[in-house]
Amino acid sequence: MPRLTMAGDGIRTKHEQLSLGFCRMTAKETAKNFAEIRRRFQQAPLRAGGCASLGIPAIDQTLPWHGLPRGCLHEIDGAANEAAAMGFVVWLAALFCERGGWALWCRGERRREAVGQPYGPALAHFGLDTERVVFVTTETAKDLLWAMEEGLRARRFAVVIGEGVSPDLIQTRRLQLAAETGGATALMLLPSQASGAQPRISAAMTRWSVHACAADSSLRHRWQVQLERCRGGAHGLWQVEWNDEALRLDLSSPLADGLLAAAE
Amino acid sequence: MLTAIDRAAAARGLTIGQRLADARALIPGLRTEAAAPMADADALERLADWCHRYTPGVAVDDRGDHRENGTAGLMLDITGCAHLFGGEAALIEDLLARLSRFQVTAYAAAADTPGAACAWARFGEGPILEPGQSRAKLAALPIESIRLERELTVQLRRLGLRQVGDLFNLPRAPVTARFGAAVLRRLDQIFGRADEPISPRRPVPLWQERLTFPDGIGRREDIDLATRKLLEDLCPKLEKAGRGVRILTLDCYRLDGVVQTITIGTGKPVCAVAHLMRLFDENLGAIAPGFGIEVMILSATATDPLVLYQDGLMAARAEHDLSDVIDRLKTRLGPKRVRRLMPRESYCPERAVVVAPALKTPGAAPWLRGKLRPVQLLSPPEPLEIHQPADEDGVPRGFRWRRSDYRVLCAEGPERIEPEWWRGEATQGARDYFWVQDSTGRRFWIYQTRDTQRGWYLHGLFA
Repeated sequence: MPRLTMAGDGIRTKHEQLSLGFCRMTAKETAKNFAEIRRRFQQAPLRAGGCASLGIPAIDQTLPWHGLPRGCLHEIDGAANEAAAMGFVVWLAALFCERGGWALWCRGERRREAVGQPYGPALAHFGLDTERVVFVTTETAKDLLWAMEEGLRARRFAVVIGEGVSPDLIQTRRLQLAAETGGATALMLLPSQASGAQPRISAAMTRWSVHACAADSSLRHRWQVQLERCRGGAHGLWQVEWNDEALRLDLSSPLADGLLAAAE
Repeated sequence: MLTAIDRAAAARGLTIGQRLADARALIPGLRTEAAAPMADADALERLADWCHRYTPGVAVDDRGDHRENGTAGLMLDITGCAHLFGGEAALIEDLLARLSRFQVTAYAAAADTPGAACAWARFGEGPILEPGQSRAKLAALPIESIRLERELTVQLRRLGLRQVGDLFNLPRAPVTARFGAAVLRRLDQIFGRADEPISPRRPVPLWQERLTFPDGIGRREDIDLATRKLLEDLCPKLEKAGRGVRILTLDCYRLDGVVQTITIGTGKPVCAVAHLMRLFDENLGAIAPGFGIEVMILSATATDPLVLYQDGLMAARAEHDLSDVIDRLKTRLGPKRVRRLMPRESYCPERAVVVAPALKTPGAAPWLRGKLRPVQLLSPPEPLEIHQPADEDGVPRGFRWRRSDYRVLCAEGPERIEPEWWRGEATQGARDYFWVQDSTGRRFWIYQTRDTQRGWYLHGLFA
């Protein structure tokens, strides 16, 4: 068995120490350990407060946590269709707010002219208890991120929604830490970016993008939901629609009409 | 004309009201400054702010001729405050010493009544008029000391009434008949026979705590610690009295005489130290300590009865819990930026939602159910340009909004919404709302007015 040597041991990152530690193990053990560590990393946020099931088995099983973890930052890209993305965010918020949790919704001041106001009856339609949402409007992006962090750390809100700013890596990391500390879930509705902008780097746990799909005239909300980024998990693409009777989101059946084929 | 003179000038025989040419003739090298009454008044206000460090009851005394002849002053009600500074004499000594450090020449006196103090400060000798001595000592003061209009003083002097004591033995009725009620009223006020309330510049708070530092403090940590100490002193007293803070003011008195004030407000009556401390935390950074802060005074300027929540009432407790984070958000962002939406029973889309204060208890009205409503509502609705003819149902096949063209793929409707005529809105006309979808899946809520214009508007966007 090779001896572990720590030549020139200075300050080592955790990763280096781990890989040195593995030198003593056989390949099988190493694989087993990696699997164990991967499992621990994936479940790290779960210790903070479990996860919320989306109620759609196909999506839940794609996510490594079998649901969306609480106490984390999730991003929703609204570039394609902001209204659709807002609908999706409201639905997610309703999932996290079950059993009477409160929500904090932070918006930039200019959003009102740009995309109008979130409309109470529609929010209630997606299952969010609209009277338990506190709306905050801020002048600057700095104030908005401050308000979000404050809400996340306060341990009073189940979910904190941010709308209208695209935070950079450090800011998302701060939000993620605040979410872990307070056990609240942060949902970031990202605005459309200027063309030619740098691809976004972020510390968020997942990133989704939502497109509206043409629905037949059944008046249903139908979205194409893409899981663009998922820490420790795979990507995914689904088409979902709002079920007015059951008040929940369902996978749309591809056989019902030819829309999925057209979308793909 | 001279409006104010200093001690040296008075010693050389100059008087207030003298013409400048005469004064120059008396003293050739006289240094003068143009009078600035507004700046004087401002300076006096600032000084009055600073004097709050001694007592909450501070009034600016610039009534009658004091303003015009440059002898305006401040009136401090030190009832029950003097012992904090080691007695009246020590208080006056401390006050004058500090004022001279700001390069302010001042005269001060303490007496039984405001009128007597006013007279003794300007014309008497020594800082304190002992209780019971007023009559004897004030009798020798000139007649100007009783705060009368200048014409009246001149008239009295012409009649040989030069001292306050000359008035004592005159019969009251003829004096009033000849000079009006003012003379005797002033005299009565001086000797406490008539009431003369001091009207403080600020309402005197019932709840106040103060901390004095022998050496000025300047570090942020010290200011934090002092604020916490003040809160820890104040809150138990409030709690005992069953009151909670709504508005709290922190005054910091700097060594150089500048007063800095921080005010915080709470959504509900609070007397928890940690909660209030977090609200101050946001703002304490705004204090510039300069050379140091010597006194900090914390006053609860508005309080309400404290509502104690029973633990079993879950709903009430949850809202009570929220109040601390909401106060924090309000303190930094402003109270109008933290709101909640409440339903209102109305079919008019704009009226169906009420924007309410964040801590308001919701009413009984339910949200509108069963109707499809957009997730984003534009307010006001935006006019659309219709560039394609309508189909057989009357819905346009395409429209232009915000410089983009949209082609309507399918539409549902109309849902007619009538104006609420009982609110006097009949002039608006009814609206026909349509749900339309374009080729990319964007869904819009558009309407056509039923009046003569027949205009099309976009009112919302569906998810």
